[in-house]
Amino acid sequence: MSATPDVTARRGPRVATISLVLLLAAVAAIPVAALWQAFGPKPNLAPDFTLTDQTGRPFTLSAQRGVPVVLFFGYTHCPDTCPTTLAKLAQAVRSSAAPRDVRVAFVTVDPARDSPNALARYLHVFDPRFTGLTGTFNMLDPVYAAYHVWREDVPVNHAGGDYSVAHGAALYFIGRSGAIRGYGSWADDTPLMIHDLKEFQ
Amino acid sequence: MKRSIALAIALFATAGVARPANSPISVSDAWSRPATGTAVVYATLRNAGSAPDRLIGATSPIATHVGLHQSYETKMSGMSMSGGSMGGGSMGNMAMPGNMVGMRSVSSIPVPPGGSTMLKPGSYHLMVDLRHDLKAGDTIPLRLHFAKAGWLAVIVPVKPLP
Repeated sequence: MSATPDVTARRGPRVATISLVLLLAAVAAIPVAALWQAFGPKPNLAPDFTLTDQTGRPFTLSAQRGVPVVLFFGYTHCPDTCPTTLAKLAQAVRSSAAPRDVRVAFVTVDPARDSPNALARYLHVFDPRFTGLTGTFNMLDPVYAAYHVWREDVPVNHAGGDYSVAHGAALYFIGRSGAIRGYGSWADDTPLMIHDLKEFQ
Repeated sequence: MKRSIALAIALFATAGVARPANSPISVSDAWSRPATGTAVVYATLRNAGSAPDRLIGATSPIATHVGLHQSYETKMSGMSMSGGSMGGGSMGNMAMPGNMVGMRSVSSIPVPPGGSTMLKPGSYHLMVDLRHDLKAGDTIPLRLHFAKAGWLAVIVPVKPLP
Protein backbone atom coordinates (compact mmCIF):
# COMPACT_ATOMS: atom_id res chain seq x y z
CA MET A 1 0.00 0.00 0.00
CA SER A 2 2.79 2.40 0.95
CA ALA A 3 4.89 1.42 -2.10
CA THR A 4 2.21 2.40 -4.56
CA PRO A 5 2.57 6.21 -4.38
CA ASP A 6 6.31 5.88 -4.86
CA VAL A 7 5.94 3.87 -8.04
CA THR A 8 3.42 6.35 -9.37
CA ALA A 9 5.59 9.28 -8.46
CA ARG A 10 8.53 7.82 -10.26
CA ARG A 11 6.58 6.67 -13.29
CA GLY A 12 4.48 9.85 -13.62
CA PRO A 13 6.94 12.22 -15.27
CA ARG A 14 8.28 9.50 -17.54
CA VAL A 15 4.79 8.61 -18.79
CA ALA A 16 4.01 12.28 -19.36
CA THR A 17 7.18 12.78 -21.39
CA ILE A 18 6.61 9.71 -23.53
CA SER A 19 2.98 10.74 -24.09
CA LEU A 20 4.05 14.22 -25.18
CA VAL A 21 6.64 12.88 -27.59
CA LEU A 22 4.12 10.43 -29.03
CA LEU A 23 1.52 13.16 -29.36
CA LEU A 24 3.93 15.51 -31.16
CA ALA A 25 4.99 12.69 -33.46
CA ALA A 26 1.38 11.85 -34.18
CA VAL A 27 0.47 15.45 -34.93
CA ALA A 28 3.48 15.82 -37.20
CA ALA A 29 2.53 12.60 -38.98
CA ILE A 30 -1.02 13.72 -39.82
CA PRO A 31 -0.96 14.79 -43.44
CA VAL A 32 -2.81 17.88 -44.47
CA ALA A 33 -5.17 15.72 -46.52
CA ALA A 34 -6.27 13.86 -43.40
CA LEU A 35 -6.87 17.11 -41.55
CA TRP A 36 -8.90 18.34 -44.51
CA GLN A 37 -10.87 15.12 -44.47
CA ALA A 38 -11.50 15.39 -40.75
CA PHE A 39 -12.33 19.07 -40.50
CA GLY A 40 -12.99 20.27 -44.07
CA PRO A 41 -16.40 20.21 -45.81
CA LYS A 42 -17.89 16.71 -45.74
CA PRO A 43 -19.02 15.00 -48.90
CA ASN A 44 -22.66 14.08 -48.51
CA LEU A 45 -21.94 10.37 -48.13
CA ALA A 46 -24.94 8.10 -48.57
CA PRO A 47 -25.58 6.20 -45.34
CA ASP A 48 -24.23 2.70 -45.76
CA PHE A 49 -26.22 -0.49 -45.29
CA THR A 50 -26.20 -4.17 -46.05
CA LEU A 51 -29.45 -5.79 -47.17
CA THR A 52 -30.42 -8.93 -49.08
CA ASP A 53 -30.82 -8.71 -52.84
CA GLN A 54 -33.39 -10.48 -55.02
CA THR A 55 -31.04 -13.43 -55.49
CA GLY A 56 -30.67 -13.86 -51.73
CA ARG A 57 -27.12 -12.47 -51.63
CA PRO A 58 -25.98 -9.63 -49.37
CA PHE A 59 -25.81 -6.20 -50.96
CA THR A 60 -23.68 -3.51 -49.35
CA LEU A 61 -24.11 0.02 -50.63
CA SER A 62 -20.51 1.13 -50.00
CA ALA A 63 -19.31 -1.84 -52.07
CA GLN A 64 -20.91 -0.19 -55.12
CA ARG A 65 -18.44 2.73 -55.07
CA GLY A 66 -17.37 3.47 -58.59
CA VAL A 67 -20.81 3.05 -60.13
CA PRO A 68 -23.72 5.46 -59.78
CA VAL A 69 -26.64 4.11 -57.76
CA VAL A 70 -30.27 5.21 -57.77
CA LEU A 71 -32.19 4.26 -54.63
CA PHE A 72 -35.94 4.10 -54.63
CA PHE A 73 -38.19 2.80 -51.85
CA GLY A 74 -41.42 0.94 -52.61
CA TYR A 75 -43.16 -2.43 -52.48
CA THR A 76 -44.39 -5.06 -54.90
CA HIS A 77 -48.09 -4.82 -53.95
CA CYS A 78 -48.02 -1.19 -55.07
CA PRO A 79 -49.94 -1.01 -58.37
CA ASP A 80 -49.75 2.69 -59.13
CA THR A 81 -46.83 4.92 -58.15
CA CYS A 82 -44.09 2.25 -57.79
CA PRO A 83 -44.58 0.66 -61.24
CA THR A 84 -45.03 4.10 -62.77
CA THR A 85 -41.66 5.14 -61.33
CA LEU A 86 -39.91 1.88 -62.23
CA ALA A 87 -41.24 2.01 -65.81
CA LYS A 88 -39.84 5.52 -66.21
CA LEU A 89 -36.52 4.53 -64.60
CA ALA A 90 -36.29 1.50 -66.89
CA GLN A 91 -36.78 3.76 -69.88
CA ALA A 92 -34.33 6.33 -68.51
CA VAL A 93 -31.46 3.89 -67.89
CA ARG A 94 -31.80 2.62 -71.49
CA SER A 95 -31.20 6.13 -72.80
CA SER A 96 -27.82 6.66 -74.46
CA ALA A 97 -27.46 9.82 -72.36
CA ALA A 98 -27.62 7.86 -69.08
CA PRO A 99 -24.47 6.32 -67.57
CA ARG A 100 -24.29 2.73 -68.82
CA ASP A 101 -23.20 1.29 -65.50
CA VAL A 102 -25.87 2.91 -63.32
CA ARG A 103 -27.43 0.56 -60.77
CA VAL A 104 -31.07 0.97 -59.81
CA ALA A 105 -31.86 -0.43 -56.37
CA PHE A 106 -35.46 -0.81 -55.20
CA VAL A 107 -35.63 -1.06 -51.40
CA THR A 108 -38.82 -2.60 -50.05
CA VAL A 109 -40.93 -0.85 -47.43
CA ASP A 110 -42.94 -4.08 -47.07
CA PRO A 111 -40.50 -6.82 -46.02
CA ALA A 112 -43.37 -8.95 -44.68
CA ARG A 113 -44.56 -9.61 -48.24
CA ASP A 114 -41.47 -8.81 -50.30
CA SER A 115 -39.22 -11.85 -50.25
CA PRO A 116 -36.18 -11.88 -52.56
CA ASN A 117 -38.25 -14.04 -54.90
CA ALA A 118 -41.21 -11.65 -54.95
CA LEU A 119 -38.84 -8.77 -55.72
CA ALA A 120 -37.15 -10.73 -58.51
CA ARG A 121 -40.49 -11.49 -60.18
CA TYR A 122 -41.70 -7.92 -59.78
CA LEU A 123 -38.55 -6.20 -61.04
CA HIS A 124 -38.06 -8.56 -63.98
CA VAL A 125 -41.06 -6.90 -65.63
CA PHE A 126 -39.22 -3.56 -65.71
CA ASP A 127 -35.54 -4.38 -66.11
CA PRO A 128 -33.87 -7.62 -65.04
CA ARG A 129 -30.78 -5.59 -64.10
CA PHE A 130 -32.66 -3.76 -61.37
CA THR A 131 -31.67 -4.74 -57.86
CA GLY A 132 -34.38 -5.49 -55.30
CA LEU A 133 -33.44 -5.19 -51.63
CA THR A 134 -35.17 -6.67 -48.62
CA GLY A 135 -34.38 -7.88 -45.12
CA THR A 136 -35.92 -7.99 -41.69
CA PHE A 137 -37.42 -4.89 -40.11
CA ASN A 138 -34.35 -4.90 -37.84
CA MET A 139 -32.18 -4.55 -40.93
CA LEU A 140 -34.47 -2.12 -42.74
CA ASP A 141 -35.58 0.27 -40.01
CA PRO A 142 -32.14 1.93 -39.70
CA VAL A 143 -32.09 2.32 -43.49
CA TYR A 144 -35.52 4.00 -43.47
CA ALA A 145 -34.34 6.25 -40.64
CA ALA A 146 -31.05 7.16 -42.31
CA TYR A 147 -32.81 8.08 -45.56
CA HIS A 148 -35.73 9.73 -43.75
CA VAL A 149 -38.19 7.39 -45.43
CA TRP A 150 -41.45 7.34 -43.56
CA ARG A 151 -43.50 4.19 -43.95
CA GLU A 152 -46.92 3.36 -42.63
CA ASP A 153 -49.28 0.45 -43.22
CA VAL A 154 -52.67 1.59 -44.48
CA PRO A 155 -55.52 -0.92 -44.34
CA VAL A 156 -57.45 -1.28 -47.58
CA ASN A 157 -60.97 -2.58 -47.69
CA HIS A 158 -60.21 -6.04 -48.96
CA ALA A 159 -61.37 -9.25 -47.42
CA GLY A 160 -58.31 -10.86 -45.86
CA GLY A 161 -56.82 -7.87 -44.08
CA ASP A 162 -54.97 -6.52 -47.07
CA TYR A 163 -52.96 -3.37 -46.65
CA SER A 164 -51.07 -0.82 -48.66
CA VAL A 165 -47.94 0.95 -47.48
CA ALA A 166 -47.64 4.71 -47.59
CA HIS A 167 -43.99 5.56 -48.03
CA GLY A 168 -41.46 8.21 -48.92
CA ALA A 169 -41.19 8.30 -52.69
CA ALA A 170 -37.98 10.17 -53.39
CA LEU A 171 -35.26 9.00 -55.74
CA TYR A 172 -31.76 9.23 -54.27
CA PHE A 173 -29.02 9.73 -56.82
CA ILE A 174 -25.75 8.43 -55.38
CA GLY A 175 -22.64 9.25 -57.41
CA ARG A 176 -19.60 7.11 -58.13
CA SER A 177 -17.94 8.64 -55.07
CA GLY A 178 -20.63 7.26 -52.80
CA ALA A 179 -22.02 10.74 -52.08
CA ILE A 180 -25.66 11.65 -52.48
CA ARG A 181 -25.57 14.03 -55.44
CA GLY A 182 -29.26 14.80 -55.83
CA TYR A 183 -32.86 13.88 -55.31
CA GLY A 184 -35.76 13.21 -57.60
CA SER A 185 -39.40 12.39 -57.20
CA TRP A 186 -41.51 9.45 -58.35
CA ALA A 187 -43.53 12.00 -60.35
CA ASP A 188 -40.56 13.24 -62.42
CA ASP A 189 -40.89 12.57 -66.12
CA THR A 190 -38.45 10.37 -68.02
CA PRO A 191 -36.40 13.24 -69.58
CA LEU A 192 -35.81 14.70 -66.10
CA MET A 193 -34.76 11.27 -64.81
CA ILE A 194 -32.30 10.94 -67.72
CA HIS A 195 -30.94 14.40 -66.90
CA ASP A 196 -30.54 13.48 -63.23
CA LEU A 197 -28.87 10.15 -64.05
CA LYS A 198 -26.30 12.02 -66.11
CA GLU A 199 -25.91 15.00 -63.78
CA PHE A 200 -25.71 13.14 -60.49
CA GLN A 201 -23.48 10.18 -61.48
CA MET B 1 -63.20 -18.17 -70.67
CA LYS B 2 -61.62 -17.51 -74.08
CA ARG B 3 -65.08 -17.51 -75.65
CA SER B 4 -66.52 -15.11 -73.12
CA ILE B 5 -63.58 -12.75 -73.59
CA ALA B 6 -64.00 -12.89 -77.37
CA LEU B 7 -67.69 -12.24 -76.95
CA ALA B 8 -67.03 -9.31 -74.65
CA ILE B 9 -64.57 -7.87 -77.16
CA ALA B 10 -67.06 -8.28 -79.97
CA LEU B 11 -69.79 -6.66 -77.92
CA PHE B 12 -68.06 -3.74 -76.35
CA ALA B 13 -64.60 -2.99 -77.70
CA THR B 14 -65.53 -0.64 -80.48
CA ALA B 15 -62.71 1.78 -81.24
CA GLY B 16 -61.53 1.62 -77.64
CA VAL B 17 -64.67 3.24 -76.33
CA ALA B 18 -67.15 1.31 -74.27
CA ARG B 19 -70.61 2.76 -74.16
CA PRO B 20 -73.77 0.76 -74.14
CA ALA B 21 -76.76 2.28 -75.90
CA ASN B 22 -78.67 4.87 -73.83
CA SER B 23 -75.93 5.19 -71.23
CA PRO B 24 -74.49 8.64 -70.65
CA ILE B 25 -71.37 7.02 -69.22
CA SER B 26 -68.49 6.05 -71.49
CA VAL B 27 -65.01 4.74 -70.81
CA SER B 28 -62.05 5.50 -73.05
CA ASP B 29 -58.26 5.22 -73.11
CA ALA B 30 -58.28 2.30 -70.70
CA TRP B 31 -54.87 0.70 -70.29
CA SER B 32 -52.74 -1.40 -68.02
CA ARG B 33 -49.11 -2.46 -67.92
CA PRO B 34 -47.28 -5.79 -67.57
CA ALA B 35 -47.51 -6.97 -63.97
CA THR B 36 -47.12 -9.83 -61.53
CA GLY B 37 -49.52 -10.18 -58.64
CA THR B 38 -51.02 -6.73 -58.65
CA ALA B 39 -52.00 -4.76 -61.74
CA VAL B 40 -53.44 -1.35 -62.31
CA VAL B 41 -56.13 -0.02 -64.66
CA TYR B 42 -56.16 3.59 -65.83
CA ALA B 43 -58.94 5.07 -67.99
CA THR B 44 -61.01 8.13 -68.65
CA LEU B 45 -64.61 7.98 -67.39
CA ARG B 46 -66.97 10.38 -69.17
CA ASN B 47 -70.44 11.42 -68.19
CA ALA B 48 -72.45 12.95 -71.05
CA GLY B 49 -75.57 13.10 -68.89
CA SER B 50 -76.94 15.90 -66.75
CA ALA B 51 -76.82 14.02 -63.46
CA PRO B 52 -73.75 13.07 -61.47
CA ASP B 53 -72.81 9.40 -61.45
CA ARG B 54 -70.12 7.43 -59.72
CA LEU B 55 -68.17 4.24 -60.21
CA ILE B 56 -68.99 2.00 -57.26
CA GLY B 57 -67.30 -1.28 -58.14
CA ALA B 58 -65.54 -3.44 -60.69
CA THR B 59 -64.98 -7.12 -61.34
CA SER B 60 -62.80 -9.17 -63.65
CA PRO B 61 -62.60 -12.91 -64.28
CA ILE B 62 -58.80 -12.70 -64.16
CA ALA B 63 -58.81 -11.05 -60.74
CA THR B 64 -59.59 -12.21 -57.22
CA HIS B 65 -60.48 -8.62 -56.42
CA VAL B 66 -60.68 -5.27 -58.15
CA GLY B 67 -60.41 -2.29 -55.82
CA LEU B 68 -61.23 1.36 -56.33
CA HIS B 69 -58.17 3.22 -55.15
CA GLN B 70 -56.81 6.70 -54.87
CA SER B 71 -53.14 7.54 -54.54
CA TYR B 72 -52.23 10.62 -52.59
CA GLU B 73 -49.08 12.55 -51.92
CA THR B 74 -48.30 14.20 -48.62
CA LYS B 75 -45.65 16.82 -48.14
CA MET B 76 -44.04 16.14 -44.81
CA SER B 77 -44.00 19.34 -42.83
CA GLY B 78 -40.61 20.84 -42.10
CA MET B 79 -39.00 18.94 -44.92
CA SER B 80 -38.32 20.16 -48.38
CA MET B 81 -38.20 18.38 -51.67
CA SER B 82 -35.19 19.26 -53.72
CA GLY B 83 -34.40 18.19 -57.22
CA GLY B 84 -31.20 20.20 -57.20
CA SER B 85 -27.67 19.02 -56.60
CA MET B 86 -26.29 18.77 -53.12
CA GLY B 87 -23.36 20.87 -52.08
CA GLY B 88 -21.43 20.12 -48.93
CA GLY B 89 -23.05 19.35 -45.63
CA SER B 90 -23.52 16.13 -43.76
CA MET B 91 -26.49 13.82 -43.87
CA GLY B 92 -27.75 15.49 -40.71
CA ASN B 93 -28.43 18.89 -42.15
CA MET B 94 -29.35 18.18 -45.74
CA ALA B 95 -32.76 19.10 -47.07
CA MET B 96 -34.70 15.85 -46.93
CA PRO B 97 -36.89 14.73 -49.75
CA GLY B 98 -40.06 14.59 -47.74
CA ASN B 99 -42.91 13.58 -50.00
CA MET B 100 -44.79 10.51 -48.99
CA VAL B 101 -47.11 8.65 -51.32
CA GLY B 102 -49.92 6.45 -50.15
CA MET B 103 -52.91 4.67 -51.49
CA ARG B 104 -56.36 4.40 -49.98
CA SER B 105 -59.41 2.49 -51.04
CA VAL B 106 -62.42 4.59 -51.90
CA SER B 107 -66.04 3.47 -51.95
CA SER B 108 -66.75 5.34 -55.17
CA ILE B 109 -65.18 7.48 -57.87
CA PRO B 110 -67.35 10.45 -58.89
CA VAL B 111 -68.00 11.26 -62.54
CA PRO B 112 -69.47 14.78 -62.81
CA PRO B 113 -72.29 15.56 -65.26
CA GLY B 114 -70.99 16.81 -68.58
CA GLY B 115 -67.49 16.08 -67.39
CA SER B 116 -64.94 13.35 -66.95
CA THR B 117 -62.73 11.76 -64.34
CA MET B 118 -59.30 10.46 -65.19
CA LEU B 119 -57.95 7.32 -63.60
CA LYS B 120 -54.24 8.06 -63.87
CA PRO B 121 -50.90 7.57 -62.08
CA GLY B 122 -50.83 9.26 -58.69
CA SER B 123 -54.61 9.63 -58.63
CA TYR B 124 -57.67 7.41 -58.93
CA HIS B 125 -56.98 3.94 -60.35
CA LEU B 126 -58.26 0.40 -60.16
CA MET B 127 -56.10 -2.10 -58.32
CA VAL B 128 -56.44 -5.57 -59.78
CA ASP B 129 -55.33 -8.59 -57.71
CA LEU B 130 -54.35 -10.94 -60.51
CA ARG B 131 -54.98 -14.65 -60.83
CA HIS B 132 -52.13 -14.79 -63.35
CA ASP B 133 -49.33 -12.53 -64.57
CA LEU B 134 -49.96 -9.99 -67.33
CA LYS B 135 -47.65 -9.37 -70.24
CA ALA B 136 -47.81 -6.82 -73.03
CA GLY B 137 -50.55 -7.72 -75.49
CA ASP B 138 -52.76 -9.39 -72.88
CA THR B 139 -56.14 -7.92 -72.05
CA ILE B 140 -58.12 -7.46 -68.85
CA PRO B 141 -61.84 -8.04 -69.29
CA LEU B 142 -63.46 -5.68 -66.84
CA ARG B 143 -67.00 -4.92 -65.74
CA LEU B 144 -67.49 -1.51 -64.21
CA HIS B 145 -70.45 -0.83 -61.96
CA PHE B 146 -71.85 2.70 -61.96
CA ALA B 147 -74.41 3.81 -59.39
CA LYS B 148 -76.84 5.14 -62.01
CA ALA B 149 -75.66 3.85 -65.38
CA GLY B 150 -75.34 0.29 -64.15
CA TRP B 151 -72.85 -2.22 -65.53
CA LEU B 152 -70.49 -1.44 -68.36
CA ALA B 153 -67.94 -3.86 -69.87
CA VAL B 154 -64.49 -2.80 -71.02
CA ILE B 155 -61.57 -4.71 -72.47
CA VAL B 156 -58.39 -3.17 -71.11
CA PRO B 157 -55.25 -3.63 -73.22
CA VAL B 158 -51.98 -4.36 -71.45
CA LYS B 159 -49.56 -1.94 -73.09
CA PRO B 160 -45.86 -2.67 -73.38
CA LEU B 161 -43.65 -0.58 -71.12
CA PRO B 162 -42.44 2.57 -72.89
